[in-house]
Amino acid sequence: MKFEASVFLNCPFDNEYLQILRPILFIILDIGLKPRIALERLDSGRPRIEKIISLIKESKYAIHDLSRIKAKKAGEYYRLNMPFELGLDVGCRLFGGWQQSEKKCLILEAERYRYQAAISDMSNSDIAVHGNDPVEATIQVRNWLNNEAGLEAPGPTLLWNRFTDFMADNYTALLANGYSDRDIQRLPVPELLTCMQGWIANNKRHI
Amino acid sequence: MKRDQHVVPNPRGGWSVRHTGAARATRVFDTQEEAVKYARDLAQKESVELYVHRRDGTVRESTIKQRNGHGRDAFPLRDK
Repeated sequence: MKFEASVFLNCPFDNEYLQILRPILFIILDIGLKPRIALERLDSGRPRIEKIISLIKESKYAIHDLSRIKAKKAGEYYRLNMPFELGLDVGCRLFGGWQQSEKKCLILEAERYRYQAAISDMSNSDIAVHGNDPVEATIQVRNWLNNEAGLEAPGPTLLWNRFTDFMADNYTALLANGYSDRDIQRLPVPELLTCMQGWIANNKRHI
Repeated sequence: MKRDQHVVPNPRGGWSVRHTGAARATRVFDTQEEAVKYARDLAQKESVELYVHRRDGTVRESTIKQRNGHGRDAFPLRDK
């Protein structure tokens, strides 16, 4: 896997976050990069932390979504995995040698300035706010990757439209193959990635 | 490519009606309800499928499903 084309995604894996994760995965693939995510393979035998460290080392770009940094209600635990993996990524950039020093990362948050209270050491980092909106998350990720990777990616609207075309085609294909609405909504990430890669290969962009 | 009709969230706000593969929306509406009404008429006139997407891009309803009766769930998902 090419280091320069790999984008490590550090984000929640709950059903609620899938609405933001799906378009982000699609956009990364559609602009010619490769999303790297702990869910990309279902090899449960390997310790999760080893898998994550490999993904971090193999990826020039990283997107860390800290929008679950705060518990939503009393008694609920806030999520420490995402800030922990952000720390691993920063450490890899600082101490990992010449290639790793080229690493770049984007922090995604639901609200502006909230993360500064929780993790003020990162206050000079690239941060984008998605407000828990899938379209906004897509725009922010596309704009950051386009700039940092020096791409000439198509505009966010065209990419979003291609994503919805994919979702409709995939929905039709899966329905015909015996999937229910619930099955489609809960399609495992490795299967979803395979469907996206196949669709993009068969529906080349003209821009 | 078959030019089906889609109702999708517009990145600049509101709901777009657009053909499959189109770079631009045919029309943009403030509400999804208005967009669905317009898109349904177009789809019927053009004899193509209609897909109504949710805010996250997933398909909320389609004429394919209605016609074929595929994908029935014992416990259907509620729309967001």
